[in-house]
Amino acid sequence: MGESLSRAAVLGFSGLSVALSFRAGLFNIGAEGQFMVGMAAGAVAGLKLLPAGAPAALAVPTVLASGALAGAAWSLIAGALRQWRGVSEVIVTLMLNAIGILAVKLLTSYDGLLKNPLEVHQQSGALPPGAQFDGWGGTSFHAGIFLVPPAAAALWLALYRMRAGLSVRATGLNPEAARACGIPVERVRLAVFAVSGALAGLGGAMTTMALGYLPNESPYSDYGYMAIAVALVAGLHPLGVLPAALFFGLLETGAQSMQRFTDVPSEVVYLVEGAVILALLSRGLKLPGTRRAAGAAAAASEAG
Amino acid sequence: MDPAFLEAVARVGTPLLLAALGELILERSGVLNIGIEGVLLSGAFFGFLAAWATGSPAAGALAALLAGALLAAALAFMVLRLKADSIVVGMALNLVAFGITGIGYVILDAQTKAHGGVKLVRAPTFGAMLPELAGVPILGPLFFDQSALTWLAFALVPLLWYYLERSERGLELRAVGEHPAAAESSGIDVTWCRFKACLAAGALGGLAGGFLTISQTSAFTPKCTAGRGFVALAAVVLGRYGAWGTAAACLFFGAAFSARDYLQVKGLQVPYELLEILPYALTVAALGLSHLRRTGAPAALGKPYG
Repeated sequence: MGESLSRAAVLGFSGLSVALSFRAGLFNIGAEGQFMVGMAAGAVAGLKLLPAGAPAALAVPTVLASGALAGAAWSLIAGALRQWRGVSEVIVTLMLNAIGILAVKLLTSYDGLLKNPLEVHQQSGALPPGAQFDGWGGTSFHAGIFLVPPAAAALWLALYRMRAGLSVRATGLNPEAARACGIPVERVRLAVFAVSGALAGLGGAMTTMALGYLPNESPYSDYGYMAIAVALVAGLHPLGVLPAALFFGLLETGAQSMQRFTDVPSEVVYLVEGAVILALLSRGLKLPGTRRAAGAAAAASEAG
Repeated sequence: MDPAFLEAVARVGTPLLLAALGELILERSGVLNIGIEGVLLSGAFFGFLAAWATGSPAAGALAALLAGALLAAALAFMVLRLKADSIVVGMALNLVAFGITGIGYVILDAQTKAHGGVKLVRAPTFGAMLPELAGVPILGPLFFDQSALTWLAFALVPLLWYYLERSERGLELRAVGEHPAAAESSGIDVTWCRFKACLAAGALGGLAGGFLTISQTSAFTPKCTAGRGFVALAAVVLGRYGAWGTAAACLFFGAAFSARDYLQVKGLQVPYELLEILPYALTVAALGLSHLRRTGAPAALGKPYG
């Protein structure tokens, strides 16, 4: 159960990230890379910035904030290229995902960087005790998991109870109309890139803290892509992400133990997730923006 | 320039070229396939499976081609018929392909373990086309020590250029990608045209994946395509949606990936991971330097029609 919850927490942060981006009509599929740089930045902050005896009250926010900032910055690269160069965020985020994964490998492979020279495995040294989320009672249940529900609640509040959220949703539903209403669509998009990157980055920093070190590769590889399934099952609703992430977290843990005890490979989860997305789409699930995009293009071509 | 390096560039560039040229056809018709990674992976697995089972690399290539086309047909059904968003469908198809090939690998691995414990199953490879000419210095390895699929990939570049830019069929395809409503009103069946483009892209993508397992490495491991599909997507954008440009971008990536191994072998003290990051970072930089609104992307790319 602790294992499921810690997997669900990672899926939760990335799921919130994807849900927010898709709500704003942005195909930011970079949660995977933003998660990786979040993990790396968390480790850099914990190992290079903080003194070894840093108290948790200082260490926890520092590491989390570093992860969030790194995730936001990583995501903003795609945002900026879309904004000022007209480059599709899809391609850029895919490239940034590859770089993020390799950057973590790079950091943990060399003694001069973050690799612990005393360690046989390619991984960083241990974070200061204050910057670690210890597993409770020998399980992988850790305090970081409690960060997810407030993050979801805050995102819900921002999206559905605040002006800023209305701007985000309007931008996703119909950017032309939003612009006509005086919403600064470009600024909203950049803000969404930053916040969704920060959410995925937070998940990364949380993972580093729960592990207590920076591993050579993510123990949750491809969760950034699985988060798309989470966000869609949640109907792109922040509060819906919580049960959806829990469901896929349980599924993932179930598949791992199924592989251990039977001959059924854990890759079955990929199949289930892909099939869930396809099933949802074929039942007529439409994303904000896509339906209007056709209409807007038609309108634009008629006008032009 | 070291001929061994040039030979490696052509070899490493082959799957990228096959996949990117397929994707180019598809994108010029206005459909984006993010599921190309899954297409490559399916081609790699089923190509390997068929080659291993029959002992014939040609059967492997055929199976790879069909597997890729089948996955692309699923994309076509979801995107063209159900009007689902192509980016999300593509990601879902990637996950499906990760799943199917991952499960397939575990089953295959268990099978071979049961029969004598051979871990690595090897498929027969395409031999060099003209081994007697491969001995010619410098030019030999570059031109004659390559597999049939490499020749095919390079031959496709001028053919595709002619098809897209000079033939009437290509004009129709481009019209569908630029302005589907106008194409429809001039009597072109937009959905049918896009469907055919999907199948062509899937077949080439599958063949690209098959090249990896039946010609380059002769073994299948889970996720052995290692993001090559995504690289091919980037090559189309970098190549500004033209056949020559896309081919140049593929060779650039081929050179970058070969340089990584080449410099490693030469004993150069550069972190391996840094060399791996380089092509991706250069892609992002190149996209950043491209001029606004002159990307050459079809106007209706990724937009549902009808």
